[in-house]
Amino acid sequence: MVKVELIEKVEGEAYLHYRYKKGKIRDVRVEFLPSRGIEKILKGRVLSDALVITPRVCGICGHSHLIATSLALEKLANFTPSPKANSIRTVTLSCEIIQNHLKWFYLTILPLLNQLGFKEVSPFEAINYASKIQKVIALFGGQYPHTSYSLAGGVACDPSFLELLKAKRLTLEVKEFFNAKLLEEIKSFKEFRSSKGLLKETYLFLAKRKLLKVGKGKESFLTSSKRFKKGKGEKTRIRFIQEEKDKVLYKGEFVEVGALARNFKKGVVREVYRKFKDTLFSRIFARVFEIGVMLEKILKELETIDLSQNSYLPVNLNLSGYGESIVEAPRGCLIHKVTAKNGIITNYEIITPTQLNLSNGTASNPSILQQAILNLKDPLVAQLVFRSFDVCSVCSTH
Amino acid sequence: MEKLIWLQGVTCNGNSHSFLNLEGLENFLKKFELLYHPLLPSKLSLPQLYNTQCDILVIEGGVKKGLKRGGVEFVKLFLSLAKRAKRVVAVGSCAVYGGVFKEGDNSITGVLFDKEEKTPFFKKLSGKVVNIPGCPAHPEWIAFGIEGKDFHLDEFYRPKELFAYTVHSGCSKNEYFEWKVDSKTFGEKEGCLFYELGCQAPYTRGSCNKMLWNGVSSKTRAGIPCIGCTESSFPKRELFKTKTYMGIPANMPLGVPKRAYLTLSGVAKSFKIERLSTKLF
Amino acid sequence: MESALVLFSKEGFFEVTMADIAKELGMSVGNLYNYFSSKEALAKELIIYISKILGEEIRKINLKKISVKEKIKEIVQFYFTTAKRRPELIEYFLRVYLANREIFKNGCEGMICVSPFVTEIMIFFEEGVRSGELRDQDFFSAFGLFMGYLGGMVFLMGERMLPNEIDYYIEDISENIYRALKA
Repeated sequence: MVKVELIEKVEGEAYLHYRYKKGKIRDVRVEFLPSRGIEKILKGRVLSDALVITPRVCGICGHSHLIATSLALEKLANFTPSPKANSIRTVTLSCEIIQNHLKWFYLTILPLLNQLGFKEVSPFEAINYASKIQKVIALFGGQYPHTSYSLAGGVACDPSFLELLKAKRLTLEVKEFFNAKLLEEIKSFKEFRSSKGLLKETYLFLAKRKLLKVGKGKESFLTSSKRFKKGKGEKTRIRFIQEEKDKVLYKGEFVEVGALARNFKKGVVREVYRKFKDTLFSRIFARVFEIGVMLEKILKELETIDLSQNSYLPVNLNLSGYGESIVEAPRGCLIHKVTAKNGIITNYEIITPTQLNLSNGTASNPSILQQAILNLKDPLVAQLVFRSFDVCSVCSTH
Repeated sequence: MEKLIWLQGVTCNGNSHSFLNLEGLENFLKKFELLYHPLLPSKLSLPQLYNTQCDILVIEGGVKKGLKRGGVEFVKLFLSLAKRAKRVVAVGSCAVYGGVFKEGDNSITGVLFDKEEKTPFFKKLSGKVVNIPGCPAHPEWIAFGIEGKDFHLDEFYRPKELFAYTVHSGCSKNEYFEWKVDSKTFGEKEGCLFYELGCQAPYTRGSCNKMLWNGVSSKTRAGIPCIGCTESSFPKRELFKTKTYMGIPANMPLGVPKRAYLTLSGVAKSFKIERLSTKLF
Repeated sequence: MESALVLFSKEGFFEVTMADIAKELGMSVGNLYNYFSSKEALAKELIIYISKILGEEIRKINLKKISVKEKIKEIVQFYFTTAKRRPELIEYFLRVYLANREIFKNGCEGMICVSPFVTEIMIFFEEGVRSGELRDQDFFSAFGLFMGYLGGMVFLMGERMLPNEIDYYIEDISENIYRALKA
């Protein structure tokens, strides 16, 4: 039996084409809206225009596209920015991840859990804190969404200690909210089980509903630096990432990207991964936990910024050649590839995390999502698993 | 209570996310019955929207024939809602002029305008449309479009309360503009971005430097040239370079005659203001 | 003004005293000082006066609906005609203003006193590039070529080194300038 389900509020919509057999999902294919032609728009423009165009792929992770473009252009120009510019980029990129994760949890996961019987949680407090962390981006980037403050050559801003102090103050406020409402500071899974917060409540609810371990993936991960297969890691190489019609593969295999891929070897997430493997709960835990990781990262990075360094050095972009980049966007690896002739873009390719997670495979070689949804019965649970990948429709339809 | 629907055409969601940054969002929304928003919890699902009566229709994204939303032809869905609505708020430059995605698909238009030309919807809808351009629009602008009244609209149906100003007004680099001290490079507090680095703020309408972004800053304040995103010409080409003819800016500050500008700038350039030609600190 | 101009251009700025000018005008020195507080102040007023006259004429040319090539010819023609009929205007500009910059350092820096003239030249160039007739380049590269050339010819004329009347050269010089600047 074939059933088509419309999934809304995944930064746009997606249609899931399910094939059921004896009440169980045997296969799923994902269909998004048609492409919006960003790659085509870039062709024929000067390289630096990409810094304005690519953020417009996506309203929630546009900043990652900006950083990916900056890095691809710098690769093309064989340029390394100052440590100061790098640190500022790390801060703003981390902020984007935080606001993404907060919105994802409160606007896409909790309402669905509510439909499954979990308590109703107002998203507005979290939205307010998501806005607060965006202020940190704006301190350096002028605005969020859609700044173009990062350029080939560094960053356009020239902050003083004033901005650093304010950024720190805002970050600490968000951290306070995070620890009070979502997740306390924990050092182990044992501590988590005796902690308070929404993530813990989510854990208890999923446990009660026996949903902790649904949505098992393929233990096949990719991050911007490493490829993990059954726990074994090797260095990530962009050339092994191949885009085909409706799928993206790494060396011919499907890979999971995102917060779990980034964190399953680290700290408490490692413990969770050992217990639950790559399942619904691990993904939710990793993503919420990562908010805390990112907050710490921002605080640390702010301390290291040496204001006396250059923010920006001029880079000649009247170039011919190829540049590429891979960035950890909120939802996982984001890849940009650019080819230029005499400073004009002749080709631009973008591969987004959602394309990696939500590829369309075959019955014998299912993609990560297809594997994770296999054999589920309840469409709401299937949708929960789908959303656990933090799907971005607009990114997929760049 | 007024019913509100937020519908999307060809978009990146940037305005939906920008709107979430409205200070006092929760209280603002309490004034409306939110039937649909692409991110926030709302009463209806997309397939239920067709022919629904709403008082305020917010439209984000470009209008494109053949696009479907929730299984319904988007144009049909949009018109069914717009017809019944008391007010249509076109939010973001895509909904106002066609926007970024029009660059790749010329059939995409705004609600009332296709770049500067009037669309076929103009005649029927212009009486109830408020245009709030920007890529994205500032959350305060969006809120004003939704709940403002007695708008003073300009020729592109933008409220003058927001768009009678240029992005230049209020820029913290104004002194450098006045005395014609230009930035040669990015990443510096000093200097104006208008002469070399592509800043369009002096001829772009918007309140970016009047009501700050995210409450803290703006592109130009952070050293990024204004990219002219509130105008129908967005996105122009070569956005980080000032177009000049024989070294003279091709675009004059809004409403300033070239003779007036050149006279004044020539005079201002003749002085070397010590404070403005050295590092601030 | 006119008398002072003639005197300064003929004799040179330092050679001429306020008394000389007063004498030429048939007024007392004290009275002249009522109009101009110093010789420098008078010199400054004179350059503004010239710049306005030149600027006004070039403005008229700029406003004509003719090609850039024709405009160049009209500017050259106007410049040379002025040099012939009212040599003191051009002479003052070249021999006093440009040669004695120290006199003009207070209140006449940079473009301030010649702004009406330079502004019109800027507009001429800007519109020429905008219409696609002139090649885009740095303003001063073009300005120097145009004005340096004309100034040089007027200098040669003043030194009586030109075998022909200056009008004789208008056609060729206009063509040379056009060829050098065209797109």
